[in-house]
Amino acid sequence: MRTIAVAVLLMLGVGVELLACLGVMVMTSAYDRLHFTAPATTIGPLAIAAAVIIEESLSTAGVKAILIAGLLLVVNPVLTHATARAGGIRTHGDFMTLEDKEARP
Amino acid sequence: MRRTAHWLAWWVALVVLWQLFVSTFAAPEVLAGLLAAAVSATAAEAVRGQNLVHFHPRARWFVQAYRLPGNVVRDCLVLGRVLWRRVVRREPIEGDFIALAFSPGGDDPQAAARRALYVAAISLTPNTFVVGIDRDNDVMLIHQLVPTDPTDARELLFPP
Repeated sequence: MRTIAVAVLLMLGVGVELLACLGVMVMTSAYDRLHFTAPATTIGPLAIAAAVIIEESLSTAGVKAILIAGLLLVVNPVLTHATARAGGIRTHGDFMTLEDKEARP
Repeated sequence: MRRTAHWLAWWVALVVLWQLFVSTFAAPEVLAGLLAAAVSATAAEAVRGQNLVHFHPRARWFVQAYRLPGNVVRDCLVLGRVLWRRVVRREPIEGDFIALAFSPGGDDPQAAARRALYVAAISLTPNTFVVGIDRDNDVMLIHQLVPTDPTDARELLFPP
């Protein structure tokens, strides 16, 4: 039973990571691509961390898996916002208004 | 004295984090961790010392975070459908910018924490991220891959 749970969680985690990479590849604009970084830092790492904990319990590997999943969970929204903000400032100046949005390439 | 205490707090926390990651007490690893933590603690204290911004969040705001996992899973399914349409059906997909009513508050620590938590919580959900907050016009600019036509920023976190 434990083996099945670990296998399912690993397939879910790795599958989400692969689909997120595919999303980044096939979307056309930088803003659209940014959306696909979120599943890769939420569902994916949490599923993999859960698989590691079920297999190893709270060993060294388990603690590391929790730390990494937690770090990705906290940092990604900040990086996504900062990247989008930097893109907006680079393209449109200090703040992107709706008029600027209409002129977006 | 207070700056030293802050520096020490940062240093100890970072050394502990380093040790959790390396999982060894080999002398070179421990030494590297002590030095890296010192550099990072110095940088953190240099930024904190400038008093650029203070955060005083309310505890009850974090209680409301129980909604986030559901929002994340729901948006992952939305992105899955988008991927299907793009890859299998070859449909052109383009997200959109949306300006939402948002009361940003003032310069006090509580308002700063509220803005930061709103940005982080909304940007955590895969279908939406915050581009910026226009404090002069009480507007939050978001980008959504599949527009959901929210009426205001609060609705993104607490769907009706």
